[in-house]
Amino acid sequence: MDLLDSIKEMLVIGDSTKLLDIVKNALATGISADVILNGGLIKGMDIVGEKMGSGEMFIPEVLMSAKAMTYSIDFLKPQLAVGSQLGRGVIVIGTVKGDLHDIGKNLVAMMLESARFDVINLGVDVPPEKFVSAAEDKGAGIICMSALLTTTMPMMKTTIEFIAKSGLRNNVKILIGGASVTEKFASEIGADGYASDAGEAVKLVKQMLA
Amino acid sequence: MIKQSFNDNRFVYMRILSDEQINEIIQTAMRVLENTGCKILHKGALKALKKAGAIIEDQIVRVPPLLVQESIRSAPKGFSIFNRLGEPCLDLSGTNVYYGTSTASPNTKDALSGEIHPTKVDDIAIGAKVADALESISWVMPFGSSQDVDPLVADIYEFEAVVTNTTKPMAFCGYSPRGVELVFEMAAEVSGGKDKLKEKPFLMSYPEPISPMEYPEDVVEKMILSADWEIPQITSGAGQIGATSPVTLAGSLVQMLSESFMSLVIAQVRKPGAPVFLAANFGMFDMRTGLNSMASAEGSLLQGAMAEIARFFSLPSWGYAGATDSKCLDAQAGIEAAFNMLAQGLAGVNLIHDVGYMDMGMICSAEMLMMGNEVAGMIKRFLGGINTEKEELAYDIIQKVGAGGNYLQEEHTHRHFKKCWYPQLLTRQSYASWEASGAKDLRTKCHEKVKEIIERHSPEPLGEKIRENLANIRLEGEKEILSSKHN
Repeated sequence: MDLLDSIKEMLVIGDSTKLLDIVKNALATGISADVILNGGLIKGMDIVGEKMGSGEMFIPEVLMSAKAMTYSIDFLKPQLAVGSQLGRGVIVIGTVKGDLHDIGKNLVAMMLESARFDVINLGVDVPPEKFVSAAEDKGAGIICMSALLTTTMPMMKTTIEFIAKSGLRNNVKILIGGASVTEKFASEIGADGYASDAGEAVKLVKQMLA
Repeated sequence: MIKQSFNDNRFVYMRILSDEQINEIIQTAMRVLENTGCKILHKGALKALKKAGAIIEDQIVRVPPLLVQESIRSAPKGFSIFNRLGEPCLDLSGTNVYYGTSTASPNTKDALSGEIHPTKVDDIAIGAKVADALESISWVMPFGSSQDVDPLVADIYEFEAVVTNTTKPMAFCGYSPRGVELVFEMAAEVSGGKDKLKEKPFLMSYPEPISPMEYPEDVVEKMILSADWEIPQITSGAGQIGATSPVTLAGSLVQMLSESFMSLVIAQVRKPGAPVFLAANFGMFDMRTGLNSMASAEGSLLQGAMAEIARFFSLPSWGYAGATDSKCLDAQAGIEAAFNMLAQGLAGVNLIHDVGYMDMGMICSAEMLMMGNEVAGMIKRFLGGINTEKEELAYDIIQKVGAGGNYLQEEHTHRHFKKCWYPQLLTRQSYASWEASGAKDLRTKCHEKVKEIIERHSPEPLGEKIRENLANIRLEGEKEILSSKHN
């Protein structure tokens, strides 16, 4: 099996140390860092994505693979050609003001990071101003908002209105999610999309930033 | 007289943990609370906890075991819940088991049309009415989370809808502290005064902290209100194993028990003797979909284990069963409801809610509740066990009937045959009879029975004066809450 195939295989297995060994090995045999990245690591992560979609791989395994990938990429960074495309886009994500629930939101953040998006996770109880300033600072293409409680869902509307007032609305897509949130609610408040689970969220983001 | 529980021969139960295991879990939970602590985001509670001997650092509260033990000591053991009429209903002690409805779903499967739509206050009224007519559903919760009123006033709308349509005891989550307080005022109105409500509570509150170990300000406020009013509170986080609690079951028991201890301490420090459960919800975080299963085997195992620990302290326990992850009333729904309801019944969980849940808690369905009632009836018979008194041993009748005889015409048979459980909906007809009566599947029968109840059942009405007063509290409360919202 060639080294790129070994890299893909080890990435799926998710062993950070062993993966880095193979990556170093590949470099030593003259394969360029960029080829290792694109032909090995990124292709490997795509396979992980497929296996997650088909139910063959589970979330903790996907996160291990993502960790292994990051470990190797950090090593490769200095050797990558200038202008290598590492990130797929910037996303700002947070739980809206008044709500402290975050496990679903954190899962989405982790899955997006695994898919090589740059994720700015603002945490919980995030006021509208913070969503806007983070999106502006980092040039985010998407703002993702989460709320669990029905009492904090109205804050999603308030936040969208604030985003519009700040003049940012045409520059970002807004996605929302959360246990009580529905497709209907999303269209009522003017969000661009709604996801019912983390897998759907990642799919939507990929579509919107393609 | 509706039989609300089988207390008689409760020898039919199962053990999950050994005594040593229970002890290990308790000791470890005490250590967690002593060394890791919980985050309490309520200034008043922090002050009170500090005064009581907890160690506070940056909103992290670490509780010495002695304070936990004092709180366990002062918490009332084995208390009763009454119905709206002041009759004793739920004896929350030992292995007594009571099944109650689901709640808080953003969607409802319409009781009549079957359409799935956002929950309305009206759906909650219908849910209460249906539950009122069900023999084996002993208590209720608002059957959904109403989406057609402002969330800040949903509490008062929902309480009114429930209390008008059933006399059964009720638990409710509560959206906001002021909403909860107004509900307490409405309940006092129904009882005939705050003291009467205290003496014979028909209402239980459910403030839910965020696992792991985080208590938002409004949750603590609800706990304090409940303690002040002496409304029994089921303060319980909802750990999803592998996500917000350890994936190993023992680890989840440890974490959630430490949260339950923290809740106990907060309530007892506020008011020694305030009635509290030793409660927790154990959710199953599915590592494929990232969603929370409401019907896992692990869930029931953990609720049952937690009940054993609660029983160790003689405090009431909590569970959830009768829910399905399925999107319709199919075989999966049947399997999941029956499995979990029986498992937790055998484990002696005192208050088991969520009968009627569909789609992982996103939908409340009256049909599902109907099926759950059938299951509960069957379980109660099973848990009722076997009586071996003289009459039951039947020596004399056996002698009388003798070899080759039969028992059909015996007085003894006539006297006792109704102790067997007879399903209302599950068919025991011959195939030909079943076909002749329409070849109906269970889902159809559940639907028809729900329709019949909605059309024909009349819950005991509230007095006109009380109804008026409730409406006034609701109107005034809504005005107050919505105007302060816009200021």
